[in-house]
Amino acid sequence: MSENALLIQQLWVGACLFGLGLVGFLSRRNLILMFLSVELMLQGVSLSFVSWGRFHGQLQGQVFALFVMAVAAAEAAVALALVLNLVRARYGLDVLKVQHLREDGLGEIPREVEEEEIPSPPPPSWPRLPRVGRAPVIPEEVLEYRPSV
Amino acid sequence: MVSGTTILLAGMLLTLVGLFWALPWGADRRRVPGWILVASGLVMMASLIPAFGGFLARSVLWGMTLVTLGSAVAMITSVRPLYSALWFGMTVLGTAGLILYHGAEFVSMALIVVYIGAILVVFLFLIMLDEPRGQAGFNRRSWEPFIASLAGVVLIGLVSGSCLEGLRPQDGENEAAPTAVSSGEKDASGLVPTRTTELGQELFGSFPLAVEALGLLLMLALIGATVIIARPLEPLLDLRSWETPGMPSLVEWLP
Repeated sequence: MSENALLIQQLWVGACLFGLGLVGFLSRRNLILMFLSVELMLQGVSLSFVSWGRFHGQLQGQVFALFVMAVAAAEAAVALALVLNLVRARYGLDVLKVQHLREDGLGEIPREVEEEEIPSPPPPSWPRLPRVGRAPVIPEEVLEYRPSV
Repeated sequence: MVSGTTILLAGMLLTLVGLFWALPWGADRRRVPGWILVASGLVMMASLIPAFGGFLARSVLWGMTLVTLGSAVAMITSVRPLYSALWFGMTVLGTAGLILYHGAEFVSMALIVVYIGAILVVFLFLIMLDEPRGQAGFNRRSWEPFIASLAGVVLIGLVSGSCLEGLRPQDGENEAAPTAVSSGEKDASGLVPTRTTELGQELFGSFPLAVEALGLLLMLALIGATVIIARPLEPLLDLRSWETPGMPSLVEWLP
C-alpha cells in the first residue's frame, strides 16, 4: 500500500504542476512567462515519469526525464532566438502585439483597452554632490546642528 | 460522511475561485485572499491522498510538495516577470527534491543544473532585454483568467480523480524499494555499482540511438538558433577607401 499511495501522491503533484503551468500559459501575456509556464508543465511530466519508474522498479522513467530535459534545453535555445528577433524588431515581450502572426480567420484580440502604462515610482532622491574641489553649498538650517558637513 | 468526490469538487471549486482571484487582473487588487483560497483548495484535494509511510517520509514529501506547488502558484500569479522567474527556480528546486526522494540523484542534479543554470539564466537575460519604462500594463493583466483557471482546475481534478479512483491502494501491494545501493564492491565491469552507474548503463545500453538523436537535436537547435538570430555582418574593411586612381580596383577583383 505504501508504494501505491506514494505513487498517487506524486502523480497528483505532477498533475497540479501541469495544471498550474497550463493556467499560466493560457492567462499570461508576457512571452517569457508563457515559456516558463511550459517549462513548469515539463516539470510535472518529469516528476510523473520518475515516480512511475520507481513504482515499476525500472530506470526508464529517469531516462525519459533526461530526454525531456534535453528537449526543454533545445526549446529554450530556439525560444531565445525568436524572442531576440521580436525584441530587435521593436515588438517587445507582449504577445498581443504580434497578433498579425496568428492564423487567418481568427478575430483580433482588443489590446488598446487594456494597455495602460503605470508609471514607475519616482527614483529615490540621490544626494546632489558638488564637483570635486568645490565647497558644497550648505543650507543654513543644516549648519545649525551640524557644524561641519 | 462526505464522499471523496464531493471533497474533490469542493477543492476544485476553491482552487478555481482562488486562481481567478489571484491572477493579475486589474490595478492593484488584493490577491492574498486568492492565494489563501488556492492553498485551501489544494489542501482539500490533497487530504484525499492516503498515507504513505511513516511520519518522517510524509513530512519530507509534503514539505517538498508545499515548496513546489506554492512556488508554482506564486510564479503564475506574480506581477513582475523577474519574480516569476525566481519562483520558477524555486519550483525546480522543489521538483528536484521530490525526484531525489525516489533515488534519482543524477536526474535531480541535472534538473537543477539545466533548468536553473541554463534555461532560467537565458530567460533572465531575455527579461532584462525588454525593460519597459514603467510597470508595463501587459504584465499586470492576465488574459481570460476565468477560462484559463477553469481549464487548469478541470485538468487537475480529472487527473486527481483518476489517480484516486483508478489506483486505489490495495492490500498486499508489493513493497518494492528503489534499486538499492550495494556495498562498495566492484562488479565485472570495474565500476562500483551506484544508482548513477546503473542509470548510465540503462541509458547507453538500452537507448543509445535515442541519446545520439538527442545530441543531434541539441546541435540542430543550436545551429537553428544561430541562423535565426544572425544578421549579415558589416564588412571589416571598407576596401573602397584603399583604392587609388590608376591601379586595378580591389572591389572589382573580389568575387
